[in-house]
Amino acid sequence: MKTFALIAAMALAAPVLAMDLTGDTVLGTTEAEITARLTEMGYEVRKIEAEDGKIEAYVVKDGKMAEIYVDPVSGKVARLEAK
Amino acid sequence: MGMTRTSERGRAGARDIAVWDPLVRMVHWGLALSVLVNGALTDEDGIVHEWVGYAALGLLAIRLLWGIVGPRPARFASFPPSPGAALRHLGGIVSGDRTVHLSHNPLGALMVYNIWLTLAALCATGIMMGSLRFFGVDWVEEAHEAAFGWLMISVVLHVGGVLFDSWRSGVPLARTMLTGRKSVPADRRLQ
Repeated sequence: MKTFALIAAMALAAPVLAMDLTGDTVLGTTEAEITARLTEMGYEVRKIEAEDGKIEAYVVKDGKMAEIYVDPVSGKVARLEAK
Repeated sequence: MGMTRTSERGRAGARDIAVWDPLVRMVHWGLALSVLVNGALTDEDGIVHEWVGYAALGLLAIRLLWGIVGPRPARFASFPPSPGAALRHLGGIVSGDRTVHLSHNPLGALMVYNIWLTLAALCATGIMMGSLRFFGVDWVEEAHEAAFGWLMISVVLHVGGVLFDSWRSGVPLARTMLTGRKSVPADRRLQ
């Protein structure tokens, strides 16, 4: 049980794809900027669009998929969902 | 076809005939529930949406298998997809033919296959959206949404058809999908 809790904690603490993206990462305030920055970081940007007041990017890197939500005002990562 | 017995509680002179076995009914309402849940309640990007989708796919697969090995009224052979038969059935409705079909009537059969195909398309595009190859690919998402839109139109037509045919034939069809039994007025020809 302890082992399981530890594994779960590690899994939560280290999202698969987020190693180089944190809440402080500034990606940009426009779709073009964000796409350019993510591409630079090695992400394949499949789609980028406005969603719920954020800019949502569908990205793939190293065989992993994620949706990245960027605050269009601060340009920072607001949320990251690994798929 | 099916077991006939005289209804004791039903309307006078109505025959009560077993048509839909428990599996057919469970799949029907299970699919209806999963469409409701995924269409109206779950977060589209969430894991629950995926689970419900897989559950629906499982129900659909079971029903398709049942179409081959299930009891007579549940088999594809009892309601083959036939536009010609559907047109003749439509003509029969207009000219006042009130024959009762024990399985799906020919128009209903087309709707059944339409809904199954649409659900299959929904499941396929849904699975694709979560795959590495099609993740974030626009046309797949659009196809998923188009399939859902078509499903909603189909559901409206399906419910309308059930209400209309219940009124026309005197067989309460919605209740049949709950109890499994068709209550057929005594003077009706069966097919």
